[in-house]
Amino acid sequence: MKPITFAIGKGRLVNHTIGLLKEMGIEFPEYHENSRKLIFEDQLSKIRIVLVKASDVAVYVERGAADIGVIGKDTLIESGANVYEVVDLGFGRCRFAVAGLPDTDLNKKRLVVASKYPKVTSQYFSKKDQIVETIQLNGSVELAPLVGLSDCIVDIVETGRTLKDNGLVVLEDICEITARLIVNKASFKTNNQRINDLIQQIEAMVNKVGDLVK
Amino acid sequence: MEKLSQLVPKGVNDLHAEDFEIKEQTIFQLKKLFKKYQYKQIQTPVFEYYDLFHEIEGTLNKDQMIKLIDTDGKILVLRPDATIPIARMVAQNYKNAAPLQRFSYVTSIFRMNEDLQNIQSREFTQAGVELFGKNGVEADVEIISLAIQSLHEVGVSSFTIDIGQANFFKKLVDQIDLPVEEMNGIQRLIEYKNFAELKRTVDKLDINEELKTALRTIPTLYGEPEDVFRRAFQIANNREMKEEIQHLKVVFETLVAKGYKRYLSLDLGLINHLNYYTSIVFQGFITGYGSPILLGGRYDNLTKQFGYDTKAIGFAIYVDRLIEAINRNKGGV
Repeated sequence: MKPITFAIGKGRLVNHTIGLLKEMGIEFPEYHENSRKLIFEDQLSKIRIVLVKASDVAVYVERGAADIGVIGKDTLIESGANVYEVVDLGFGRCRFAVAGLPDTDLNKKRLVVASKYPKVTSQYFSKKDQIVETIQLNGSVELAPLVGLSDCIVDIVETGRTLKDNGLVVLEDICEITARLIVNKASFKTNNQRINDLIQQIEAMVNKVGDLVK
Repeated sequence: MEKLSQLVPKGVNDLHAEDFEIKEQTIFQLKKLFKKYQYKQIQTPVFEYYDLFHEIEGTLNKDQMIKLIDTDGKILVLRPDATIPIARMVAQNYKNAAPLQRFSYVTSIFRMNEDLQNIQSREFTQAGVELFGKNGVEADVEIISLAIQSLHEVGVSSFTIDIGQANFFKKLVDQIDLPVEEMNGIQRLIEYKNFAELKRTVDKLDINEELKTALRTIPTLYGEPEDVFRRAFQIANNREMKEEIQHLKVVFETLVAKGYKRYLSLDLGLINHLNYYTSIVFQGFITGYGSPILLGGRYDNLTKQFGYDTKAIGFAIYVDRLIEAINRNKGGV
C-alpha cells in the first residue's frame, strides 16, 4: 500500500500538525524540532510527512507530490491553488490587516501599499473600489512606511508586537486566518476511502461542520 | 537581430520526435476507438469571432480567450474550447439532416492561463466526441462508457470517472435569491469542498433552514453511492431535483451493470466552471496526477443559442495531461 503523504509548511504549523496526528495515534518519533531531516514515515499507518517551505505546500499538493497539505489560509489565498480545502484546523490563528503609522490617510489618492501578499492586497482594495500601487516585498515589511517606501502595509498580525515595536498600528482588519487542510483532487477521487477516513478523523477532532443530512 | 532573452513565449512548447511519436500513438488509438463507435471526425476553424464565444450563456472566462483583431476591426479568438464551435457548426449545417449525429475531434485549444510555469498551459490538445440528437439513459451511458474505454485503450488501468449533476445544484440555488457575486462565492466554496467556510457563510444567509442544510450538504454528497443517492433525495425539495437524481441513479446503475463499478465515483458537489452543462457532468482522474485528464457532460441548451434546438452530450480528453500522467505512473513516482 502506498503511503499517504502530508506536506507541512516549516515553521509554527509543524508542531501543531504533528501534535494533532499524535492524538490520532500516528507518531513520528524521529522528529524533533532541531532535526534537519525533511521526510518522516509512520510505518504502521502508512503515513508520511514531508517538511517544505510554507509557500511551497500548495504546489506539492496541487501537483500531487503530496496528497494532503497543512497550510495557512494566507499562503493558500496567495497561491491560488486548485485543491480541495476541506478542514479549517483552527490553529495558527492570526489575521490579515492594513497597518501603518497612526495618522495614515488610507483614502488618499494613489495609495502605495507594501506587502508580501500582493494578491490579497489587490483583492482587498479592489473590493473597496480603490486603486492602489502594490509593492511586493519579501520580508521586514514593517520597514516600508518608516522609510517612505510605502504609505502602509498589508501583513499578517499575530500578537501585534512587531508592529508596536516599530511604531505602527493596525488601521483596518481584512480577515481572520487559520491553518487549513488541503487535499489533492485526484487523491481525493482515486484514493477515496483512506483519505476520507483520515479527513473525517481530523475533522472530528478540530471542529464541527453544522447540520447535514446524514 | 537583437538576441531575444526568451525564444519561445510562455505556456507553449516544442514537441521533440520521441514525444511526438508517443502523442501520435495515443491520438491514433483514440481516433480508432472513436471511429469504431461511428463518431466521424470533424474540424472547426482555428480562429472564430469573439462574439460567438462571448454572447452565449455559460461560456468560459472571457479573460482566458486569446484575442486578435481582424482587418475590419472585428475581434477574433483562437479556439478556446472545442464544444462551442462544434455546436455552432451543427446548428448551422445539420438543421435539416437526421437529428442523430456523432462527431469526434482532435484539436488544439488556446487559452490565456495564469499557470505559466506549465509549459502547455496556453496551447494544448484535446481529443473528444459529441453526440447530438439524443438524450436519456442510453445516450449518457454510451458517452460515459466510451470515456472509460478511451482510457483503457491508451493503457491506463487505475483511474476514476467522477460523476456529478449540474442541474441538481442549479435547481437548488434557483430557489435562493442572492446577488450573483455572493452566489458565485458560495459555488466556489462548494467546488473547493471548503466545508467550514461554507457553514459560516450559509449560516449568515437569510434563507430557510431547509435550504441552508441543503447547501451545506451538497459538497458532502460523494462516496458510497447508496448513501449519496439516499441523502440527495432527502435534500431534493422539488420535482426537477428529484427527477435529475432519479435519472442519475439509473445511469449509474446501468454503468455498474456493465461492469464499470470500479472506475466510477459520485460527487454532487462537482460543479464545472464551464456553465453550459445542463445535466450529467463528469471528470476523469488518474491515480497520482493532480488535474482531471477528461471532462464531459450534457449540454442541451447550447445549440439552441445558435438557432437549432437539439440534445447533446460529449467529453474531451486532455491529451497532453494524459500522456504526462501515464509517464509519471510508469516512472513509479
